[in-house]
Amino acid sequence: MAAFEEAGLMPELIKAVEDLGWTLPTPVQSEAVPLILGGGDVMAAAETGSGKTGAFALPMLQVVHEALRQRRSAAAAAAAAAAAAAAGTAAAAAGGGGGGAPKQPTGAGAGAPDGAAAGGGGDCAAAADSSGGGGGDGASSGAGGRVALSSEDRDALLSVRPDGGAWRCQARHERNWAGGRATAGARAGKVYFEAAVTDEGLCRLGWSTRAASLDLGTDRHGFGYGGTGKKSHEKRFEDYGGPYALGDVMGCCLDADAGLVSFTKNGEELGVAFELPKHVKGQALYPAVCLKNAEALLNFGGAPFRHAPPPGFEALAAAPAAALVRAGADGGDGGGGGGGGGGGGVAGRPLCLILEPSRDLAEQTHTCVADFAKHLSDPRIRAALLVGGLPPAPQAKALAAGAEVVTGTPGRVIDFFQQGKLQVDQVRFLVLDEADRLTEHADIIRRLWRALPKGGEGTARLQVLMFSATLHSPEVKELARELCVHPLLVDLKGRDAVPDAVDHALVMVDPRQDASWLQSTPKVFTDNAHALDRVAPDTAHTRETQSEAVKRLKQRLLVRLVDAHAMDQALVFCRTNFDCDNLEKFLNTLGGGGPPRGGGGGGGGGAGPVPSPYSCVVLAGARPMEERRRALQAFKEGEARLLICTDLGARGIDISGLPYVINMTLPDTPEDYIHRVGRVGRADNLGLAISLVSAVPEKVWFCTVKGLNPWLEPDASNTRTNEEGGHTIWYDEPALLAGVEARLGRAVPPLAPDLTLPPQISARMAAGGQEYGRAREGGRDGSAGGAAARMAAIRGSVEALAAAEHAAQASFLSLKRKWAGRASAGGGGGGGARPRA
Amino acid sequence: MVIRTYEQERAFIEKVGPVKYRIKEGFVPNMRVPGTFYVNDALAPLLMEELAAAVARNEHGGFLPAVKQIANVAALPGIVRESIAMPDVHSGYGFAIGNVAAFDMADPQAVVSPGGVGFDINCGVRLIRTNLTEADVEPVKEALTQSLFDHIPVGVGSQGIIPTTAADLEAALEMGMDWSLREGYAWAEDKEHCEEYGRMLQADTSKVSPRAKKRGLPQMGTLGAGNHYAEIQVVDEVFDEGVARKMGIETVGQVCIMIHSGSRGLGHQVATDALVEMERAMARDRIAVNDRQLACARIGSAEGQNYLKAMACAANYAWVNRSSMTFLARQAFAKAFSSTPDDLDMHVVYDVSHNIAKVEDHMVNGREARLLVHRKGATRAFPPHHPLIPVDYQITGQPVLIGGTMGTCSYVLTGTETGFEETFGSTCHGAGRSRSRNSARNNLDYQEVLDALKAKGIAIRVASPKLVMEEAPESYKDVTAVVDTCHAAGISKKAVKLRPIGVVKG
Repeated sequence: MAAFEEAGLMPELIKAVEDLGWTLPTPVQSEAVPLILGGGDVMAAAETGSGKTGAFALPMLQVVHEALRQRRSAAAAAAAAAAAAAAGTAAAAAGGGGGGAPKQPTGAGAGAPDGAAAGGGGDCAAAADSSGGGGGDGASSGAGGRVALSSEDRDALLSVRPDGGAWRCQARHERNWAGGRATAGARAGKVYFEAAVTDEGLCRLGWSTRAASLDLGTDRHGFGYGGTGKKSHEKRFEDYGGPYALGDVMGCCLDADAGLVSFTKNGEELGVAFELPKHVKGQALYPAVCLKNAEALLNFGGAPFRHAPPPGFEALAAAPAAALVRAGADGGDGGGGGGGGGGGGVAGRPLCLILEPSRDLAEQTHTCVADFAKHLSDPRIRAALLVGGLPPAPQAKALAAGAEVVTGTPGRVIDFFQQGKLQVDQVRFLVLDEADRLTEHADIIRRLWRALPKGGEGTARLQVLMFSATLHSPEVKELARELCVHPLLVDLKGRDAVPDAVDHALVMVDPRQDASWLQSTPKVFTDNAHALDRVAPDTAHTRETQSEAVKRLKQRLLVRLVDAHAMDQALVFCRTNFDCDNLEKFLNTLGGGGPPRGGGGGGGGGAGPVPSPYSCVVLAGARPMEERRRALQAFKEGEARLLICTDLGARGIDISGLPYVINMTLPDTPEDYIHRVGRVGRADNLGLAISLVSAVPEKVWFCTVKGLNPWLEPDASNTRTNEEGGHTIWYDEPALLAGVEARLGRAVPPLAPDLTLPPQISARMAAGGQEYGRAREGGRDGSAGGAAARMAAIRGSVEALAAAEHAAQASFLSLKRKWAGRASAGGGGGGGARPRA
Repeated sequence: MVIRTYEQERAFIEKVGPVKYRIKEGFVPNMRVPGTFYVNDALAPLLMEELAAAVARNEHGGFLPAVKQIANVAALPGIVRESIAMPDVHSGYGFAIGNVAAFDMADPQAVVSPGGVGFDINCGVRLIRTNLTEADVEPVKEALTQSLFDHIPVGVGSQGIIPTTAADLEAALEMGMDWSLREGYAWAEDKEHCEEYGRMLQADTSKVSPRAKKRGLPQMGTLGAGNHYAEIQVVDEVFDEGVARKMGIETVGQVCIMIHSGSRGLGHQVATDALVEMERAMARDRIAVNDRQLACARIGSAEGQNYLKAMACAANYAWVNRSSMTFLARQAFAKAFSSTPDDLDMHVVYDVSHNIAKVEDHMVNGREARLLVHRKGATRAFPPHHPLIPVDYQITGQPVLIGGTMGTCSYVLTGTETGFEETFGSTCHGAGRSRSRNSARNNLDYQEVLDALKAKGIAIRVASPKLVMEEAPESYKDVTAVVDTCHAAGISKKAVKLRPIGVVKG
């Protein structure tokens, strides 16, 4: 019973959203759902809290469910066809007087086209055709079907084309290696492929897993042999087999059963190069090639070999289907009639991969997916969560048990992928949620994306969905350009994502003019960046002292701001978790009452129920989930006046009617500024964003080493700047301010010296009787007023026109009645008064 | 609620004419008037099967069957004469799509319902003629289709090419096509051939929520996804030469452009906002309805008036939208033929609205009455000499544009006296879905649909591949059967048949 039906959602999902109490789609849902169902790549700009998860998860679940059902019915049809064919042959054989049915069941399938034979569990024969297509070597294909050099699983610099049953590849860059892999690999048996070096240049050949870097032999997942006579694995290059070059024909042998990789040169065996380490055992290894300004011709068995494979080895293309694993969507390893073979089948592999920038978000999305999918049955959709901070074993178990939808954070997901625990060859959806936050993991995303099957055409293609608070940051645009194909934009906010109900103001913090940082009370707590510097009046000219002074001033200024604007509630952004801690301590020592249910130890004076004007709670990434939840709750219920948070902590929080945002420090990017101020001005409530901008350079911590907390133990080395090998940087806020102003398209005015509103804003507020935190009346620029005036001005004419229309219709109706009495209606002819054409 | 068998349900539906059925009172509770629907023998089973399926599945997700929805509308306060459905009727949010319902303005209880207008307010069809023939276009068909696709932004949320600021949007909402004219995107003659002259005067932009405006701003001048399209069509058959000539359609093979689009996210948001607001009003005014989706408010109430004023803004937006796309199509053609839109005679033949509510005068029980006529998926079809139709069409009756589905024919009809008397001067609007989007997705094959289009020689550009199935002709009723039903019932008259040669979709 929902308008979701009009968007094309299936009843089971509609029922699930009804259970959640949703009857009408949110804007982003009504725009994005049909597009995602439509099969295109979609980029949507939408805030958290706008129903964005539903916007991608609902249609994604529907398409995944459709794919699962299709896969099943295709399998059923294939089984039926095979049975029918077998019956047919049996009947024919019986008619011929022969004995039993034909010996190999595959024989029956061989009559069918290649794709159908490979069908097994494959859900799209079309993809099988297209990924294997272009070879023109149908005649020579063996039971395992065609093996090609992938046109997708390769570096852009490597060109690949079919050449008489073999595959010619070329890379013409002088300095860069360019690699590629075959479309199929082996996880069992003894297989062989041949590579002829057909030009000068550097060449590396061998085997690697799908997770391996295309630069063969540079990681744990690839095993290469280079023309300089070195074998390579994990970037270790060791002598092996001697050099090879133009004219040589190299044989690459994989004994997957014994776990050995060896090579031949012009038919001569060179001995074992690698014993496969445990972590790749059981994984499929694919033929791999890597070239630098060179050319090679790879033959997987599609053409006659120049030299016979060593005894016991057979062409990769001729390997039994059960031993082969195909990259891409055509999961040929279902094993024709092989009976699934444990976890080897495509069933249960993820069809959708959702990446989230933080564990919390991943958990939330995972829960949403489960909620949405609860009425989907036959088949059910299983979801798995892969996030850091939790033991990997249960996650691996859930994944191994089968999960169609995987939600995770980039780090854990790539770990699992590299360990071969996460199979991505069936993935149809890649969702980048909060894509602007994921751009720092762009490399991981690219690696994952490269491994995804992209061979599907039309409706079976990979869909990439990017949801972000903004689509306009250069990083997001760049990522979209690489990953998406003709993405459809759902931009509900347009380029100008700045909430127009927010006023911006700043306080220029200059210790050369405001000496109050020298006062000893109230006591401030700063970040130890200058713990080793002498800070005193006589060093006031040094930039270290000025920097420390800014830190001290800002905390004092916050209190003055809260007082000057009699702030009921405000969101206060700090740069780091540690800054949050310090600010919390400072406010609590002012008699701030401390965290409401955190034990009451903070304030001491919190005996009375009246919260201090500076009562605060903290929502920072480093705090435990439960504490953050309580903090948010306390703030929402008004128990705390100030919510101190980091950018990450504040992500997605939605408190309507929030009047103030205070930036203790400007964020790194203008986009983050937009996010921050987006916390106010929601639901068209008026909001004010005040930034404390340091007029002098401020030294701040900048440490990218995980687990290191130099601010707790500052010393001479770690307080040095990044360039000097330490963990600090000099922050240039005026420059950041310029960026913000450019983004806003206007200058941010300073507050008056008494910290009251800048004159232009206060005049407007007074004129409109407006107040922060309350819905504004009409438009702020008076355009609505203008419209009202125009409405009033034309009201008379509108009414006169309506009356004239009414009169004309009345006359029309009465004339009709009059004539109806006389002739029959057909006689026509206009009333004389009416104009003619 | 009474549980009845299909046979028991079916007994309430009576065939009263060759293509006309009546839904008797009692089919659903509190019916104030009977329901009526027009279907021929080919279309009737679709509705009956839908009802049978609903009885069988006994309430589970999705919409009520269309016949139930028609009857539920007949139970709304203030409805007069009948709740009428066109041959292309299919279930929608609250009201079936294809439902016409009129409410007596003189009755203080009478209601207005956003569900009776639909989410896509003033979704409509516009036909633009050219003096080109199929022979002129055939050699450049693919390039022209591509050019149209490049010129007209299609996808949802895609930024319109015509630059607009928030102030432009306000003005467009207020002024409709007068804004397009002022900004140079429309010709003065275009207005003449639009309903309401492309501007609803009661538009009050202050009644449109900021959220709706936010959605509308980036989408101005975009086509939208779903069933919206821009098509290059050729005249396939002329049923009434005199009428066709009045429209500037001289010959079979003449090339026209049809644009089917609406008010995009803005209209959707206006409808959503009103539905929410009206639920509160219903509780306050104690308006009882059979289906929660039929949220409504008394016409005279603040909520009712707010909706009508906001709806007028959305309608204006849709006209501006179609005008902007007309402008872009004219540019595309002028470039392709190194000519000017003027020299190509690219005039708007007509522009209809098939999701709208309007105040009109009709006869009810032998007396004149001012009615608020809701047409959801139904087109106004006024007879010759009606004062509200343009001077150019006074003799022919109002042109009615019936858009087919992707790859099928479209029609131009004209309004009739019979229609004016029987259906408040309304007729069908298109083919009408025969299967839900969800069902179409699962039962049709992408490649087959594309091949079928190719076989017909139709060039297609579509932004969302799966939409191809949802919008395939197989997902819709046969538009010819729909139009023939209307013709047979006499509620409109066939004039011209068009067939597509190039399709652009979102």
